[in-house]
Amino acid sequence: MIKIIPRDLIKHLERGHGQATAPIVEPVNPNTNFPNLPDASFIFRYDGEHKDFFQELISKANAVYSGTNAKIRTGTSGEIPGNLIRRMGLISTIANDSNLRRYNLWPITATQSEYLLQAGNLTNLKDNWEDFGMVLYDRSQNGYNPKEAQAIYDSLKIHRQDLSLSESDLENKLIIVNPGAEVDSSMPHGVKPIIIPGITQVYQHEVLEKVGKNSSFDGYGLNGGLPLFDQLGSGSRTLYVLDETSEIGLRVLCRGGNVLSVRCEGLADSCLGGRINFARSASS
Amino acid sequence: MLKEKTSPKEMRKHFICSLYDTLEGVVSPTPYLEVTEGDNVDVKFLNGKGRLPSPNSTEVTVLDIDAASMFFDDFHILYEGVTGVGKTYTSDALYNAVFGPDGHYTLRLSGGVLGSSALEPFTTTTLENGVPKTRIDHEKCKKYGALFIDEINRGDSQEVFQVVDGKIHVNGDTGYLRIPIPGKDGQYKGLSIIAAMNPADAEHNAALELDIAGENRFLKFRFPNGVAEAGSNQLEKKLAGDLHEKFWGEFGKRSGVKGEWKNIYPVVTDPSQFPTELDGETKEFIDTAVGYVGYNPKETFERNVELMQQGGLSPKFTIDVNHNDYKKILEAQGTLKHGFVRRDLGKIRDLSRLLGFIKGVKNGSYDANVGLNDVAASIGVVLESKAITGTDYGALIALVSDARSAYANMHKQMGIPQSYGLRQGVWQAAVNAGQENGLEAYFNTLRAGMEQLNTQSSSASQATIKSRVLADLAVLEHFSKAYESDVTAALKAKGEDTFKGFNELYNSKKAQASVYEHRLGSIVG
Repeated sequence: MIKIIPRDLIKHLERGHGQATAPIVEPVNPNTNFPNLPDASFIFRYDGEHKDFFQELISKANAVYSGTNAKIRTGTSGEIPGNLIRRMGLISTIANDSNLRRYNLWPITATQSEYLLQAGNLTNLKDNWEDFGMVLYDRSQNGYNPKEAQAIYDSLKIHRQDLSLSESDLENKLIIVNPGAEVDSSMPHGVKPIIIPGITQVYQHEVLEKVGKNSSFDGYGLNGGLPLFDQLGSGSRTLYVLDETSEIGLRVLCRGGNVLSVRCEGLADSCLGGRINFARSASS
Repeated sequence: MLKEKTSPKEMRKHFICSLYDTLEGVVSPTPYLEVTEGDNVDVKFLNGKGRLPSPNSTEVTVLDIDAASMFFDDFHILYEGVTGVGKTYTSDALYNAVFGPDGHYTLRLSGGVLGSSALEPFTTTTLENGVPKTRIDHEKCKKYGALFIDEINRGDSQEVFQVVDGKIHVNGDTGYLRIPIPGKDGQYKGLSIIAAMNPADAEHNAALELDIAGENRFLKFRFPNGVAEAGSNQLEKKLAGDLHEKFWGEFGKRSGVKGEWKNIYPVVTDPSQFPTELDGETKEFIDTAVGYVGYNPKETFERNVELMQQGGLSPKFTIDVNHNDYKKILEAQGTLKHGFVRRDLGKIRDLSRLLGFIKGVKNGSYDANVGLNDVAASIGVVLESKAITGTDYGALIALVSDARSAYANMHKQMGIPQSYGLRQGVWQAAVNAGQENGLEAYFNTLRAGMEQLNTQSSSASQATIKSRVLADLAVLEHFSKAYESDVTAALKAKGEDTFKGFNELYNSKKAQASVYEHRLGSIVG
C-alpha cells in the first residue's frame, strides 16, 4: 500500500510541462569559491552599480526576516547599515534563492577583507565597522550570547563532516565566518545562526589563544583574516583580544578601520557605523 | 478472558507495570545502553555502568530488553557474558513471573555423545518393540510460552535452529512451537526465547563461537556486569516467593482481568498490535545506510554509480579514498566479523520497534513508534553485535551517526516531510506534476529531483547515501521510460488511482529485471 504524501508538502519539487529540467531551487554549490583577493568589493547599498541585486536581496530578505533583528531597513538611496545578524539573514537569503545566487555576489570573508585592505581596494575603510562572523569560545551560560552559541554549536555538529572537522575540533575555539540565519522566535534576535555548507567558513586560529586586551601587529591577516602569533608585538595595527579565559561565550569577529577584534560582544551592534561589503565569488 | 473494552495499550501498560513491580525486589536494573537523541543520535554501551540521566536520553536496561522482546515474535535475544553476571538469573526471574515454573523451559545444552538435545522439551521417547523411538509431542509444543537456552554454543546447532525457528522436524513429523491467541482463530504467539553463552575465549575453553547461521537468528548482546555499579544492593535481590502468582495478581488488580497466563499473555503481547512496516523515511535510511556502515562505501558507491551512468546520470560527487575519514571507516569496518545479511535487515527493523517500544514504556505512551533515531541506534547495535569479541565499542556507532546526519541533511535540503523518504517524495511530486501537466512534467520533475541531489559531497557518508538514492531514481526513470504508455495511462487516472496504477504496473513488470524489485520496491511497491 503506497502512503501518499499530501501534495502541498512536496509541491516545491514539481516541474511543469516544457519546463527546463534544472531545478528551480538549486542547492547551494558547496564549492562556491571565495578568491582571496576579489577584483573589487561593493558596499551594500540601495543604489549604485548593483542596485538590482541589492534591492531584490532586501525585499527577499525582509519577506523572511520581518519581525526579527535581521530585517533590513528599507530606504531608497545610500549605504545600508549592517551588523552580524543582518549579514546572516542576507547570506541565507542568497543561499536559498537561485536567482540571487546567479549574481555571484556574497558578503566578503574575513580573509578577503584583509587581502582587499592590503590591495587598497576596500571601500569605506576608515569610518565603518564590518562584522564578518563569530568566534565560538565556549557555550557557557554566563558568557555572551549563550543561546546563539548553543545554536551554532548544534549546527556545527550537523555539518561537522561538510566542514572537515573532527568531534574534538568542535570543542575548540572556532571562527565561523559568514554564517546564515534561520527564523527562531526563541532567540534574542529572532534568528538563530546556522552553518551553510559551502558558504560558511569554519576554522581554528592560533591567535585566539592570545589573551590580554589589545595587541599591536604589523601587516595583514592573510591567514583566516587574523594575524599570526609572530606578527604580534609591534606595528601600526591593533588586534583586540580577550582579557578573560572562561565563560566567554560567542563573540563577533570584526574590523573597524585598521583594527581587528575577536572580542566584540553584540551580534546586532555597530548598526549605524556597520557596513557589509560584497564581492564576486567564482563557482567552480 | 480479556474484557473487550480494555484497549491493547492499557493492557500493555498494566502488563509492563506489573512486571516491573514484581521484579523490583528480584532483579537489579543493569544498564545496557543509552540512546541520546537530538539532531544526531548517539548510542553508548553502558556495560553495567550507571550514568546521570541527561535530557533526550533513554537508558535501556537488560530487563527492558527482555520484557519488550516478549511483544515481538521472532525477536530472540542471545546474551554473551562471563559466568556469574546474571544471564540465567534475570531470564529465570522474568520467565518465572510471566509463565510460572510449568510455562517455560530451561534448556542447558552440552556437547559430546551424551549431550542434551534442544528438541528434548518438545518430544517424547517411548520404547517400541524394545527400541527407543522419539516422536514430537504436539501437546508439549503448545505447552510453553518461553524457552531459556543456556550455553547455546555447546549444543547441536541444527536442532537449536529448529527450535529458534519455531518449527521442529522429527522422524517425518513437524511440530510448531507456539500457543494459540484466544479469540483469534488461526493466529499464534511464538515462543519467547532468550539464549545465553559464555564467550569463546581462553577462560571458557569448552565454548565455541556460535556460527554465523546461529548468530543471525539472534540479536546478540554482551551481557553487562553490573556488580561494580550495583554493589551490595544486588545481595538484597533474590528469587523469593511465587513470582508468577504475584505478577498475575498484580496484573489482575490493575486491569481487572484475571485468568491463566495462556489466556492473557498471548493477547497482551500479540505482535500484530504493532505495525510491522516501517515508514518510508526509516526504510530508506536502512536502504541507504547499510551500504555505508556495513560495507566498503567505495564499493557501494561504485555499484550505484554504475546504475546511475546506465541511466544517463553522471555523479557530481565522489569518495576520496585517500582521505583520512575513508581510512577510518575501513578501520572501523575491519572489526566486523561479517557484513550485513538479509536477516539483519529484519533485526534492524525489529530492534527499532523494540527500542521504539522501550521508549514508549519510559515516556508512558506504551506505543512503539519508530523514528530515524531508533533505526540509527538499531543499526549501531546490530553492527556492534557483529564485531569481533573484545573489540572496543564506539567506532561503528560513529559511522552510523555520520550516516544518519548525512541522510537527515539531504532530507532537509530536499524539503521532504517527516516519515517519507526522499525517493518517495521525488516520485510522488513527479506523479502529481504528471497528473496535471502530462508525461513530460513527470519526467521533468524526476530529473529535476535527481539534479537537485546530484551535487558535490564533502563526506563519504553523504556520497554513499546520495549514490543509492540517485541510483534508485535513475532506475525509476528507466522503468518509467520502458513502460511509457502504461505510465501515461496511469497519469491520466486521477488522485489515488494514479498511484494504484503505478503499483499495478510495478507488480506486473518487476520480474523483468531484478533491479526493478530491489530498487523500486520501497518507492512504488
